[in-house]
Amino acid sequence: MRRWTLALLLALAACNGDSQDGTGSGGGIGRVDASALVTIVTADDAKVLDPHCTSDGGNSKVIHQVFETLVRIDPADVNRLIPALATQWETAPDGLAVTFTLREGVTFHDDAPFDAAAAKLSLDRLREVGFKLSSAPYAPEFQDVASFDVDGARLVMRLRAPVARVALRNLSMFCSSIVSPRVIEATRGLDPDAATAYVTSHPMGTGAYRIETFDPAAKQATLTANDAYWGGAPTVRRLLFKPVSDESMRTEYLTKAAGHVLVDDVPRQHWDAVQASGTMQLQAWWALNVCYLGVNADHDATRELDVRRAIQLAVEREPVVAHYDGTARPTFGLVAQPMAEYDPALRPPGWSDDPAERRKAAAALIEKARAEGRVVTVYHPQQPRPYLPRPQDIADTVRQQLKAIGLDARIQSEDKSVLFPGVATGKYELVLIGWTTDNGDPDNFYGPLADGLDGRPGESNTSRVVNADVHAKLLAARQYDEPARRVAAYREIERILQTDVAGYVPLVNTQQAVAFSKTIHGLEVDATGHYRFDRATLE
Amino acid sequence: MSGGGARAVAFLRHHRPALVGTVLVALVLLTAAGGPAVIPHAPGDVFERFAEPGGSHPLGTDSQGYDLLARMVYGARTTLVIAVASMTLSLVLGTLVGAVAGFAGGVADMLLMRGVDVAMSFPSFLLAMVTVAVLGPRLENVIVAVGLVGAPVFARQVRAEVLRVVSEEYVVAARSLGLPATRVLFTHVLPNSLGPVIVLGTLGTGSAILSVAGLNFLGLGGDPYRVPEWGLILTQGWNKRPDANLQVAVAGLAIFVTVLGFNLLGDGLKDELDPRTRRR
Repeated sequence: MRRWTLALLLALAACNGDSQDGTGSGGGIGRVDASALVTIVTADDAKVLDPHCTSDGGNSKVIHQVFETLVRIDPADVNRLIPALATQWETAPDGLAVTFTLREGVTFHDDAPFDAAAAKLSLDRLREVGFKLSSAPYAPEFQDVASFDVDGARLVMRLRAPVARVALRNLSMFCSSIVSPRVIEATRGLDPDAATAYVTSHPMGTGAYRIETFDPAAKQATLTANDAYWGGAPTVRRLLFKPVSDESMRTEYLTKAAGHVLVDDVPRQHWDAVQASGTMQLQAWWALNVCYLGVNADHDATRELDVRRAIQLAVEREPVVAHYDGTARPTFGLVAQPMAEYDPALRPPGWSDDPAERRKAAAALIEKARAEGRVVTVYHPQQPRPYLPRPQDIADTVRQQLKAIGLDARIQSEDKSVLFPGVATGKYELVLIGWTTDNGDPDNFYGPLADGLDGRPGESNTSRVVNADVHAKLLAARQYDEPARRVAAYREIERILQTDVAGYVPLVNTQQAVAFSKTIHGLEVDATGHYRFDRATLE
Repeated sequence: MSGGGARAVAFLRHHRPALVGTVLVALVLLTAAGGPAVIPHAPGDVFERFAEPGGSHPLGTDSQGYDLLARMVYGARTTLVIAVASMTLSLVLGTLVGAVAGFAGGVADMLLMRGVDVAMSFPSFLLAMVTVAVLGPRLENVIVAVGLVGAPVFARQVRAEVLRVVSEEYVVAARSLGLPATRVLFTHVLPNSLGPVIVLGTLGTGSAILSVAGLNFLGLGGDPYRVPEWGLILTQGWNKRPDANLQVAVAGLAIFVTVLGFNLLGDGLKDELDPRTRRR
């Protein structure tokens, strides 16, 4: 019955698509050589194509195809940056400036030439320097940047502190995309919302694909190959972004869709079907994320360090991992496990390799703090997150563990629109939550999750305290570029956090997966989950 | 009292569906009342996850390592309590509105009954969903939602009965004796209007169980592990097929049997108590 309903809905969706293409301007998909089209099925739809004004995953998937950044994360090694619109870059000896040599002969989709002035304009706009944006979610990440200056054909990034490593990483995020200067100039004088709408309707980047049709109401985007692309004209001629929010509908594409297809965020229960299908292949990787239990050090229920340390010892990873069907592994640090800064040997104070001993030690700490029978509530998002596929089940498992050491633990779900702002106000003593990095830098974990400004915790800092020692060490660590020194610095920070703050319990690192037709070759997927088709070929 | 008992026995003897319904409802009530005393585990005890049925776990364990039998037995209590509570809310609210509308008449009647018409013009389950969504996903709110949504049916029924009863001679007599309106309403009119309401209440309990289970299945009941409830047990299993096929089957069957029991019993009572069907 359900299958028939789905089939009917799919058929209706298909009819709808045809009629749109028939009446659309640039020629229908049905009439184009289907062999050069890839359909990309995503969970979230794109609404805004202004890279400087959004942090939404659905938008970023499309933005990534159309716009480019100066540098890019190496798909083969997350710890390395590779050239994109900048061919090389050099950090000044004092660490306070980075000079970029820019790629020559690059033009935007509107034929405007790419140069240092164009790059400066976009990077200033992103930081709201000389512009007012409707939303500037990434502007705070650039507070260490003093200015971007044009130096002939080169671009110079001047820094307030020697934090070149983090600043360079931030330039790899999609928010740092370079938009055509003609488009940006045209937005001057418009109010912020109108400016965002203008960029969305004139999405002129330098990427391998240009927008052919984009109608946020129709929730569908068609992209066509940019033959003037500096990397060469792409073999895959067209991309169709098709958002399908319903998980079971989305997975219908795994087995039923014709032609070349890519399905994003494939849930674990469908992996085996994909691998057995013969037509689809699966690419899974350890994502740059962490799922953890935030423990509020500024809340009456968890104010004593002994209680927080007891919770650190009490929560077992294995029963949590069991809920992920093999797509998660235990993790013991806040930074994502695939990153070099993760310390596989670190364990919290009082640790024993015997779970029974750990539980005993935790129960003793609870007794010492006279916290037996204390009511603690584990809050969790109502909706599944990429790092938290079954929030209620996992929260309940955590609850069981806390009960076992003498706390009267409860669980409570909250809509994510309530939960995330609630974290910022310190409402929750315990919260099951996670983090995925956009730029693969350890600072992108410890900065937002364990630090703050002027002694006040940042809005995603679930411990609700800022440890002065950690704060100082994080400022210093931003300046370290040499790998061994950087790794040692962040591992030290993690140790201090677990010993002196005990403001979180890292639980698991999870896998992420995309499935795509076996007819697609040479597709590049990086560790942040972004894919590139410019060098892909089709059978 | 013995006369009533004899009448009940006679009724059940010639009305087979009602007999079946009575047995099913009695079975569920017995499980809810006495079950916890005879089963080996409490619903909060944690064991190995997805243990096979057998041994001390006749129905196996679920994804959290809870004994499924324990959760089903305790779940019977929760499910019945929620259903009866929401039904009572419907009944009290509906009876009040219906009685006032029917007894007062005029503008009050028009206003109240147009309100009831508006409430009934929405699909009731949809209305319940919206109510819980607005109030927040909690079991308490499920009771309120199902209770509110069920009230208009009672209001309409009670009003019709009250309109019939007020023209009876004993009510006219009471009024002409100069008794206060509230006394006439509560001592003479209402007690004689409640027969059909009891039928509706029994039938409504079945549909309330279904609505509660449905809302919980859709995740509107909040935390599925705080208290065991059949709809929640069904949802939890549904997301974990095929590992939890038995869980889905058991919870589904329990809901089915209970709703069937109340419906059969309600139908029987209707044939017996409803003045319209009785006179035929």
